[in-house]
Order: sequence, then C-alpha cells, then structure tokens
Amino acid sequence: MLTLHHVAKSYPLHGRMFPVLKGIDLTVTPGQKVAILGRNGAGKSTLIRLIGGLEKPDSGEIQSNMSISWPLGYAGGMQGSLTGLDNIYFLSRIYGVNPSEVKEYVSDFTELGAFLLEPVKTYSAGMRGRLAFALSMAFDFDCLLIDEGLSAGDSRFTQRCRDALDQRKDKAIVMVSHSQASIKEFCDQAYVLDQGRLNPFTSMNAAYQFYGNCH
Amino acid sequence: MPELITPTPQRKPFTQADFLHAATVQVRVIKALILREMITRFGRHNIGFLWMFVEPMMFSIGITILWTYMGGHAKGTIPVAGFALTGYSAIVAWRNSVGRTSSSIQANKALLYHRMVTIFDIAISRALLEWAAVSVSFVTLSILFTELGLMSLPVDPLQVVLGWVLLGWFVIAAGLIAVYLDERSEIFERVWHVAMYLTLPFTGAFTMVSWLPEAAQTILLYSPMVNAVEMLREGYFGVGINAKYSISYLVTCNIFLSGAALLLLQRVKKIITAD
Repeated sequence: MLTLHHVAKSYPLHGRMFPVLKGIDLTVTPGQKVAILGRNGAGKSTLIRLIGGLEKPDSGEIQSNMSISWPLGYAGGMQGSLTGLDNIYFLSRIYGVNPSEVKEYVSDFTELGAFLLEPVKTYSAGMRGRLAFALSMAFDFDCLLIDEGLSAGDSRFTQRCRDALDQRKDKAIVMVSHSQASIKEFCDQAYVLDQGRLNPFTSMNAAYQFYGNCH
Repeated sequence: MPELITPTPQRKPFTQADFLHAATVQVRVIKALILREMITRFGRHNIGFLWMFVEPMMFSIGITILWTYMGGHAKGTIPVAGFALTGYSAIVAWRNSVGRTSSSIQANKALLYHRMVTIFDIAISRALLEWAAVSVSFVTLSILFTELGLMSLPVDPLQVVLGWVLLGWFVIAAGLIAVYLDERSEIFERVWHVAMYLTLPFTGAFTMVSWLPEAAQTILLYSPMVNAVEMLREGYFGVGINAKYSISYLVTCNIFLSGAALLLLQRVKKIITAD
C-alpha cells in the first residue's frame, strides 16, 4: 500500500514560497489503477517527483511497502547519450537483476531490434516510452508511476501494455495526465488535482466533469 | 524472476543483516555508476577510455616541459621532471575532484528516481573515477620519465602510495563538500575556477615548505594538501629534501572533512529541485 498523508510542497517564486501542493492525501492499494488529472502547472509533476522519491515533501509523510517504479514517460531514468542496451545493462546492475534475461525480455517486448544499439537520444518519444515500460515490467515493480506515458505508444503497443498489465492484476498504477484518452485506457479511478488539492471522485465521469470546469 | 527492491518500511529496527544488504546494494550501485560514467564520458569513439588517463597526462607532460626549460621551480637535489610530476599530478587531482564532482548531481539527477541510488553514490563514483584517472596518469608518467632517465624510481614506494592515498582522501572529501556548495548556490559555479586558481599556493606543488621563510612555513602547513604533497615528495626523493609534514594532522583534517561532507550531502536531498 502507498499512502500520502497531508503532503505539502512549496517552491520559491519571485522571492517568496509558492505552495504547489497544499496537503495531499492519497491511498493506493495493490492492483488499484489510479489516474490523477490536472491542468498544466497544477502540480502533477511535483506529485510524481515526490512519490518517485526524487524530492522530499516540506511536510507530511509518504509511506509505501510497495516497490515503486521510476516515472515511465518519455525520458524518465534513461541516459540519452547511452544506447538502449547500455541503459538496460546499467539498470539491471543497479536493480541487481541478471542483465541478459532483462535484455531478452525487453528486446522481445519493445520490438526495438537493432535500435537498441543506438543512443536513446535518437529514439522517438514512442520508442523511449516502450523501452521504459518494458524495463519496468522486467523489474517487476508493484506500483507503476506513469507520467503522460503510454499515450506515446501506438495502438499495437498500448494493447501489449494492457495485456502485460492484465497478467499481473496486483500491479498498481498511478498515472498523471491531462489527456483523458490514456486514462480511460488504463485506470479505474480518478482524482483531480486543482489549486494544490486532490479531489477524489467515485465515478470517472464526475471526475471528467469537474476537470472540465477547473482553471 | 528478478529480485524485488522493496523499500524498507520506516521505523523498523535496523539489524546487522539490513546493514550488510544495504552495503551490498551500495557497492553494486557505485560499481554500475562508475561503469556507466566511463561510457558516457569517454564513449567508444577513437581512443575511448584511454582519454581518461591521457587527458590528465597531457597536462602533467606540458607543465613538466615548461618547467624544465623555464627552470626556477626546483632546487637542490630534486629533478625538475620529478618535481613537476608530483606537483602537477596533485594539482590536477585537486582541481578535477572539486570541479567535476561538484557538477555530478546536476547531470545525473534523474537517476535519483531509482530508489537505491543516493546522492552520495553519484558523487562518490564521480570522485573515485576522477581519482583513478589521475592516479593511472601519475603512475604511467612516473614509469615513462624514469625510463627516459628524467628521474629515478621512488626511494620509498610505500610512502609514495600512502602519501598519494591520503592526498586522494583529502581531494575526494573536498569534492563531496563542493557538491553541497554547488547545489546550495549558483555562485559556486561562477567562482570555482578562480577560487581553485587562488588555492594554488596552498597546494604545495610549486615549492617545498623548507625553501620558504619561517612565517610562510607555519601558514602553509595548515593546508592538509601541503602536508600530503611534502610527504609524497619525501617518499619519492628521500629525506635529503627536508620535507615538512604531519601525518596525524593530515589524517585528522581528512576525518573532519569527510564527516562534514557526509553531513552536508544529507542536506542536498532537501535542496535539490528537479527541472
């Protein structure tokens, strides 16, 4: 379970502290697929950085007994000047996993083929998204953090992601997005981040409606 | 299936097994970071990894040639090549450690999303790699200069190793502190070049302490690096050069600086902001 308790974060802006998140409460249980909708600048990326452990909240607590992935998006955790294969080897080493197994799984899943020998910075957004997603499946995280992610892939890849996730019902997802399409594809519950607060909704439609009205 | 990296729930007692596990993970991460750094920095183009050693070597060779023909620096029994090599290797170690370690976090911030990678891991792997590069360049050039008859082999190799390691400890600790300064303030990036230049007299590279007036000697010996370089040179050229240093002072400074570095790195996590 992943729990956020009264999480607040501010950043300096024009010489004073500007509160981005003003007390966020969120619980994600294994297998839950949560979407967080928000306009540009609503604090989605801040929230991802906090859950992802890149930064610490000013106050409040984040606790988790699930392993949480790095944000799977277009760039997350990948070194552009390294080849896809270098990245696979590096990540396998730090996660303590057999690199050749991971390599096999990833090249099979992503169908990147010879592109794995090219620097990641030459990849299209979709190719990076595929690589990041395949790696996260190979490392078997309990909770996937997805930052605008899978929308970058084509429909064939989106289907593969769906299938992979369907095989692991206990995998949780926290996805942030401002696009409703990718959220419909993967999530079953939605929150709307607005004015530094997280608004829970019981139905997806209610969330969309509220989202449509925020500024 | 791959091993799961489960974050340890907070407030659980920390046992010896936990410690051993954490230590294994840390060593694994630092190794992987060093390998990765070698590929990103030096790549697979032309001479690749050799640049790592060739770069500091070019520096030392250039200075040695300059000093040999300009004279002025070495006195007495110390050969110019040996004097330049010991001095400039120390300076390059100092400059590279502070300059390159300090920028390591900015360049690798995205790695912090991987839970097992810490600020310390990123900084120390960069510092160790820089240190290793300068060390290899130092050893290679020592052999080369000896073969060319420009200097002789060290009088006391063990002392050379010890002096070099204590010097390394000092510059690595300083590099870690520089990481904090760099993250703390943008001014650091602007001033470090000139600041490093101004520290040159306190590196001990240009003169032996005993060649200076008494008052200057007292001041210079407060610099840990001067102590290390004096020790290194005594190991190379023998007690005849009248080196002045205190190992206990050097070690005390190093312990103090390392402690300060670890405490400051703890705070970096709170002040970094991702782009």
